[in-house]
Amino acid sequence: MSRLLIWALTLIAAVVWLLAGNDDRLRSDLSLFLPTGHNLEQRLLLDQLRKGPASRLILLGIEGGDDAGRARLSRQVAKELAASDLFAQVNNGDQPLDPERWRTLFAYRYLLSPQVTAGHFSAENLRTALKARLLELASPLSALYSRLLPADPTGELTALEQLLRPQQSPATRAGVWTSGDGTRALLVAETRASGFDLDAQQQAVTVIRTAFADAAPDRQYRLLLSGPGVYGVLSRQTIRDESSLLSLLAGLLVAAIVFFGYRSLPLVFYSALPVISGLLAGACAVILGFGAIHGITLAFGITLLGMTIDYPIHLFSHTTPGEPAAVGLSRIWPTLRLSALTSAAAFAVMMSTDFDGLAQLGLFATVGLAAALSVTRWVLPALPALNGVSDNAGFRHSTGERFAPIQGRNGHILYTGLFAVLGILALLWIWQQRHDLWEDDLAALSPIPSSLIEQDRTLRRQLGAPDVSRLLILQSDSIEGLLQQAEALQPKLEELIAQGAISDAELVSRYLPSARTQRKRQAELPDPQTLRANLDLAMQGLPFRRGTFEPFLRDLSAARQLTPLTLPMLEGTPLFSRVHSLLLQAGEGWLLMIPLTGVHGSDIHAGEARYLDLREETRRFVAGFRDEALYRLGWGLLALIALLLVALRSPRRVLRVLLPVALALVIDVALLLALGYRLSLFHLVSLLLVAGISLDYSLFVNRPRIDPEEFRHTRHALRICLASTAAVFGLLALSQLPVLKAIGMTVVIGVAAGYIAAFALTGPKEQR
Amino acid sequence: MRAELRLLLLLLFVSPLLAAEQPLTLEQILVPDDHPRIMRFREEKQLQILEHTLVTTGRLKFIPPDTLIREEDGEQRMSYRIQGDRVSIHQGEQELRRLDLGSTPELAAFATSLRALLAGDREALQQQFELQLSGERDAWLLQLTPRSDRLSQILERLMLRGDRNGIRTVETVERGGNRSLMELLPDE
Repeated sequence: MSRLLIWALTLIAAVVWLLAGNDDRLRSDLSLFLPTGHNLEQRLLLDQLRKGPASRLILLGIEGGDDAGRARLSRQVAKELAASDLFAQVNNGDQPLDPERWRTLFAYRYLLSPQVTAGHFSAENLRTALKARLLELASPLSALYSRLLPADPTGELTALEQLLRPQQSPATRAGVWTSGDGTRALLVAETRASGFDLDAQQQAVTVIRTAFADAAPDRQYRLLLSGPGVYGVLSRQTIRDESSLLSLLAGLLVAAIVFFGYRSLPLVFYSALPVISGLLAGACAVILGFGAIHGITLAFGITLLGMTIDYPIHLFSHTTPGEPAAVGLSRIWPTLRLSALTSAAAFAVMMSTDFDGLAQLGLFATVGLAAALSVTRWVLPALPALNGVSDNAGFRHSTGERFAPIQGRNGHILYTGLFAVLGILALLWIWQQRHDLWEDDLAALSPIPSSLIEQDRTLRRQLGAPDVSRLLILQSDSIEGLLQQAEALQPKLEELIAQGAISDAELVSRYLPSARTQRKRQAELPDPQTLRANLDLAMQGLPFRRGTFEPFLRDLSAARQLTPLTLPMLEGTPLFSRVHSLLLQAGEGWLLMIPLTGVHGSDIHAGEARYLDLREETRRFVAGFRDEALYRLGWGLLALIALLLVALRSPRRVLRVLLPVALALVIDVALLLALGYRLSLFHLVSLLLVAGISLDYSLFVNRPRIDPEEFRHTRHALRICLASTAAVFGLLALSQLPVLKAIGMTVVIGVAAGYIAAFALTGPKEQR
Repeated sequence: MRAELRLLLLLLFVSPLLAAEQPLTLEQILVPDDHPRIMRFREEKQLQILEHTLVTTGRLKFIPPDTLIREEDGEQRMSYRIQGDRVSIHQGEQELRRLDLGSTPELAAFATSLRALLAGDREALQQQFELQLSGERDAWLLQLTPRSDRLSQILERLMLRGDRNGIRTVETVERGGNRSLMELLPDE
């Protein structure tokens, strides 16, 4: 009784402790499960991809209605979003130019403009410039030019603006951005929070949807949303919805199967106790060990601990009516213990990895298995109701010997031969597919439907949003050093463009020239007397009012005294986010990224710059992560075999126990490949579960010295085990989510193969 | 006498007066017209920074449904071709620049207002501007005030004057006091 009390109190304490903790102990930040990169540089780049401006962009499309209606909605939504402090900026192509933001750049125009070279301000050149301005004043564009003309007769700001303008800005209808065919109004919003901060992104998405709903109360218009954050929120929501629905269904199904097996409601309730205890223990252990638990760890952990539902089933089935549960338990305890400990050993090996996600999973599963086993061993037999219940359990083994149609020695030889052939075929098939084994494209496992990914691509193209997957990298001790390097690289890049190797390269030194270049331009600015004389000469015979260009004379003199513009001074200007997103601090030094577009070929050589294909890098990282997992699994399996050798003390018996497990895994993988799947991390974790469950089956079937009555108990137990596992994971296999489907398929195929192999390969002597 | 009959009589007496007072409608000014047209223009610009008025003459060509070409006289032979949402600037035969209407709201105003007026496209006008019509059939004034923030930072309003034969002058009032008056004349 005291045992029960201790258990119940521990359980309650764990629940209270878990509930009392704050929310940040459950992490949904995906980066824990993403590769972290091998060196500082790669880590920084990936970090930039995850948290940088690209990850913060939300693309909006408005469809339906007419041009005017969409434009009205676009303006209204943009206004709402700009008013919210969740967004750093919102753009729909109709933003008034904010002179405040241009103030600094305007002051520095003579140091920033590439037009400023020797003789740029001679009388002759000034006269040419003024004549050109006169033409512009006569043109329908005059409104734009006349305002800035007195301060900028040589048009430096226009030159700067030209540099800043996105390479392809979207088309416009009714004053706002639209798709090329004009049927969709486009907006871009940049959130303040990182795209991986899913709670903040959720908030942003809600604000956008509310703004849209307020602006368009009728159903005539549709809102399309896309971007990394939006998809993160959507996947989380989809996984949550689908997982909770599936777990509910799975729970009901298992309850029904257990009830059908034992015709007892209390047993249905008791069968859940080890699993629940295991989950609680696992979660507590991970939070204690790591400070927080990741949502994915929890999901995988629950999957892995699903195997502990088998423990109480073993206990129930092996307890003969009328005898206390403790007696039934004593008969199976060595086998049950071995089964759980071997699995736990395999998981424990995972804890030694550097990857937080895998290590958490290992700890969760190891502690969870130990807890579930302990509850089955010490708590369940002590439950008062259990001993009475078994009496009227309705299962009584009526289904007897129907499993194998051909019995006896012949049957054994036949099945062994059959499985030998199957195993060899499966191995051959896997060998043949060995180059096409792994799924390293994360997108294939994304819970986002491919139609939405296509939509994102379309919106991105229509908005002319850059695709930063191919870069050149420069490295230096200082920003100034980087900018000088970048300027030196410009001729080479122009050559590459001319050759057609790339179609464009975004050089940050175009926006922010090095201090050296700025000083060089400063040296070309004439002194006030010379400039005034040149201007007077240039104005002769032209209709400009005298004194019009005083602001020009004043500003140019002032520009001669400026200290060169640097990155911190850009804050608050339209250049800042652009420049800042391309410069990264790396330890002591700095990195400069040069995004390339239209890259032909697999490598680009440009001076000291290193070429980096981020998509390729990411793929490599994913493969590295998977290799790490595979490596750990290998060690886990070795640990499992070592433990079996110690416990069974006979290599022959170990072989006999392991053969069905190996067959299950090989046939599982071969069938998955044959069905057109490629293996990912999710499959690997599932295969671990298959190994654990198959080993459990095999250990129970291969128990030494059991009589036919006991063997029938075992068969009954395994039948219910298989039915419940197959039901739960069969449901997962039906899911629309690639990840859940992968787990479900793998486990269902694997445990079915493991079950059949375990029974078929058991010699006639054991079956008797 | 029944009340209805009394009202009817009253209406019969009063209706000629009502007809005279009937307000001018946009439909009367903006009649959809899809004939190509060529006309001459004379534009006077008064700019704060110039000592005298800047006069430009040239021809406007309207090719339905959406092409408007402004060819300026003079040795520079500047021309502006607005087709759909694209604008190209030419000097002689040479194309100097290509612009998107949305990125240059001044051009958008120029293009949409004049083009929409010539085509009688009320909807296009109303997308960009608040419309206010006054006057009578033979001397009307249509005032256009920009709807978008970006355009209204630059342009205060457009004033179009015309008679029953169509549009006669386009007056542009910019923020900051610059104004221009474009007179449309039949092509000789």
